[in-house]
Amino acid sequence: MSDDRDLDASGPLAQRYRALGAEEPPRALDAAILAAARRSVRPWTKRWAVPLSLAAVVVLSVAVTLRIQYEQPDTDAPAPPAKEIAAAVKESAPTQKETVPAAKSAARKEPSPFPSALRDQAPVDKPAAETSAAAPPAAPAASAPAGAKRLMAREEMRAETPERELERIALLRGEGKHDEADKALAEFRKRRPDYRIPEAMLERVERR
Amino acid sequence: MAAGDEQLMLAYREGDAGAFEELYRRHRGALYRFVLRSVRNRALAEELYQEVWMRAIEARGRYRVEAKFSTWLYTIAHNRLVDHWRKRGLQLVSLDQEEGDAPDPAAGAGYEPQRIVEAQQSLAKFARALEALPPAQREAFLLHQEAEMSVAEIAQATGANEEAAKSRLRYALAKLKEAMVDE
Repeated sequence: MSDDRDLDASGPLAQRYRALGAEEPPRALDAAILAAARRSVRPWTKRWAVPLSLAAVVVLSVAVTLRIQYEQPDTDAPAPPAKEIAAAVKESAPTQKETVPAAKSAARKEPSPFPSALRDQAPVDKPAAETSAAAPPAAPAASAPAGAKRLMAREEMRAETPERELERIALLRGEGKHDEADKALAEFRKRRPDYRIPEAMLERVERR
Repeated sequence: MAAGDEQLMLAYREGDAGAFEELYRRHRGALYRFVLRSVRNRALAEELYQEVWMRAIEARGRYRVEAKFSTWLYTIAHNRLVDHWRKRGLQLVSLDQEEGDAPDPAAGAGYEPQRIVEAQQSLAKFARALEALPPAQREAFLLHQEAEMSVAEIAQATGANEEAAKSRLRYALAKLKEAMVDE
C-alpha cells in the first residue's frame, strides 16, 4: 500500500468519508426485518397452530355431521311396515298381557334405567317401551323388497342398544321361545355385565 | 463480556430471536450505508438492504462459523449487488443522480458562510469521486470503511484473490486522495 495512513480509520481520507454522513435505515424497515427474523424462529407448532386448528375444526364438523346422520332415524325413508310388525306383536301380545300386564305400564312410567344425567349422555334413542312397536321382526324375510331390506338392516343396527336387545328377548319370551330367550338373555348378561336391567323389563325377559 | 457476532448468529440459528436483534443493531447502519453508496438510490438501496437481511434470515439454518459474521453478511450483500449490476448491464449509476441528497455535516456552528460553501463543495467533490469509482473499487473501499475489513477479508467477501482486492483498494484510495488534493 502506498500510504498506510490511507487505510487508517483516523486518517484524512477516512475522516472525509465519515463527513459524508451516517445514514441509517428507516425505522419501518428495521421493524419489518426484525419481524421477519422473529417469524422464522417461531416453533413449528406456533406457526402451524392456526392452520391446524382450522383443519381440526373441519374434521370434527364432518365427523359430527356424519355421526348425527348415522344416528338420526331416516325420515325420508318410507315408513316402516309398522302395521305388519304391530300385527305380529299383537299375535304374541295375549301371552304378554297374561303374564306381564303390569310390567308394560311400569315400563311406560320408567322408560330408562339411567338417572337423568346419565340418560342425557346415553345414545339418542327412544325408550324401549315406546319403540317396541317399531322393533324389527326376528328374521328378515328373504323375499323382502330392496327398500324393506335396507330398512331391516338399519333397524338391526339400531337394535344394538341394550333396550332393543331386551325388547327382542321379551318378544321371544312372549312367543314362547323360552330356550332361545334364555340363551339370548345369558348372552346379553355376559356381554353387558354392568348393565342393570330395569325391574319392569326383567319381568318380561326372565323365565317365569 | 458481550457475545461475538458469530455466537449471536449461532444462537439465532438455534431459535434465539433476541440474538438476531443484537446482531442487527450492530450491523444495520454500516450495511445500509454500504448498499446506499453502492447504488446511489435510496429506494433501491432500501429494497436491496432488506433483501440482504432476508437472505441472511433464510440462510440461518446453514450458517457455520467459517469466517467472521461480517464477512458472511457482506458476502450476501456483495452477491445481491452483483445480481443488481448484472441486471443493469454492469452500467454505473449516473453521477448526477441524487446529487442534491449529499449531506452537509460540515455545516455546523462556528462556520463562516464562505467556509460552509467551500466545505460543501469539497464534500460534494469527494462524493462525486466516490461515485465515479468502478463498482469493484468502490465496493472494496466501502467494505474497508464501513465493515472495517482487511484486504484479506475483502477478498473473501467478494470472492476475489487477495492481490485483486489489494489492487482495487489501492486504486480507490489513490483516486479519492486525488480528489482531495485538487481542492
